[in-house]
Amino acid sequence: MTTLNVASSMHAFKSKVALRDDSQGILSLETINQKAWRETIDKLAGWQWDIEELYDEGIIPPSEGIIQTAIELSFRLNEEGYVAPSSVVPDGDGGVVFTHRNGVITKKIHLWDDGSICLSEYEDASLVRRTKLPLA
Amino acid sequence: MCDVNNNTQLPDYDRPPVVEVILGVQFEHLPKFKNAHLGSFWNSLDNDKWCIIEDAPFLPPQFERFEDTAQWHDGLQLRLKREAACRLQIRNSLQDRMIQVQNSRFHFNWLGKSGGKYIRYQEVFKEFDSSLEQFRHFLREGDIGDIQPNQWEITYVNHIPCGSVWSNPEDWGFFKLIRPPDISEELAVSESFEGNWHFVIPPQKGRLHIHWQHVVGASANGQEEEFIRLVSTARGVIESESSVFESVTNGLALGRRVIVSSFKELMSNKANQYWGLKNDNT
Amino acid sequence: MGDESDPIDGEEVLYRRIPASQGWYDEATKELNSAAFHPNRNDETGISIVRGKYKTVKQAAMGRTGKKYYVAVLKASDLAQQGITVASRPELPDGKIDKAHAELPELNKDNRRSDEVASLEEILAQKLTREVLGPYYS
Repeated sequence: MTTLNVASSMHAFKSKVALRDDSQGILSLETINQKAWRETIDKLAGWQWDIEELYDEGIIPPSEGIIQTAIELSFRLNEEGYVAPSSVVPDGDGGVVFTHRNGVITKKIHLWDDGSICLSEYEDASLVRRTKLPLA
Repeated sequence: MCDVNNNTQLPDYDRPPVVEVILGVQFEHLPKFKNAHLGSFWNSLDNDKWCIIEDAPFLPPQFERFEDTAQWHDGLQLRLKREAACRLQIRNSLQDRMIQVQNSRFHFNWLGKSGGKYIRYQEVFKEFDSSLEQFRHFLREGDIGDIQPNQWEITYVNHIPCGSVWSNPEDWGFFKLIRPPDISEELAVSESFEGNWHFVIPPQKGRLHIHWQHVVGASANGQEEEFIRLVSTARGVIESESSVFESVTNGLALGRRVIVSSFKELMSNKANQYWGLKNDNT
Repeated sequence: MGDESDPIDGEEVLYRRIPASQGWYDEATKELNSAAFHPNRNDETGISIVRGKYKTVKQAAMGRTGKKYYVAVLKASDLAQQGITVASRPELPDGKIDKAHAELPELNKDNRRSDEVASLEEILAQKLTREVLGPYYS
């Protein structure tokens, strides 16, 4: 007999979600993770809409092109089912940084002002690994 | 090879409330596949039979990941180039079958809304398999490539009309995940409910998603009716086996098993009897 | 090379101004993003730091008029323990003199993409920032 394990834990990928689109029976559920990605994309789109808000003394805000790339990156990572970032911020030098924290492990995807992308992993604030991510 | 006809262990109903079944496979993006190929593929089918087409929005990939595979890692492949991709829905003349195709997905629907009796999984699978093979043949002949499946997906859509196993929201306990509220009718009376449940198919082979929706609208036969729309979708990542398509077949069979068995387990005895449960092996 | 006539004592408190506009400090979670210490292409000789010996927190928070700022509080000896130099740089690029101005030379425009800077930024934000004060309105 098939048994089911009810996902009663606080896992980020399970719990109440909202039906977003029902296209002829292909159920597209928005999980909590996807909602978090949507909020990230909304924040980035907000920067596109009002880039003036990011101007500050000594700060170089990301260009429209970099913000658009960050949005595309968010869409792709969401589609692939990767965990949503805890935060997305400008780096003050024309780039954008996505950060995910999980206990003592912190990971950052850094989109530089020239469009290159790098993944850094920290354990308890110590840099463990840093890799340039190729664009397919 | 999984025997899709092996349903001796599965609950079987005389009159299941199922109105739609969708079998699908998600595959890796094909770089050479363009929107124009959707039309060419349609043209390669028997247009007397498959004569009704409709454009639909592209559905982005959706992966059932578990914590370890969802973390960012240095093997991430980032494809940022955007394409104006489309999905094509192709119905047959009787409008009881539909093929849905886009770059990264292939789905086959049995549509019971036209009033037809449910034709059973084995038949739906046979038609899905045949249609998928036609699609693969089309891709190979056009030198577009072949599909690399990365996820299987199966959905059962049930319509449970008011007046069948329920008459008012207080009766919704026929579905064991809903417990009628213990509240005085002088204070508040139940009116409606919509919700989702998510289960892991162990051990991390995929997920079962169940969506409950109280609907007042057009039913399976097109008339105004009040009903519960209960949608069960099982999805899982393709496992590496000797044949990728064996994995798809096995995945769909697992998904079907989970959906059908959970349906029976989650319904009350009275409801199961109403739908003509035949081989109750418990 | 810093101004050696006015060295920075180990006990000296240091301030790093954090523009609220960038979202680097989350008041709700009290988390400080390492981007707060990331050098940009204009940081020729190091990122700027304010000496607590010569300015108050509120003075350190002053920036563009109408904008909001937080202030990260650090201690010179903590930075020294991590091998981070604090150099007194009272002469500003525009020629003016500000005794409170100092810099962290190890974080500058030339090495801003290096592993070393990636490491130092994170340590500064997560380990060496003692508290974040504010917000203050400029």
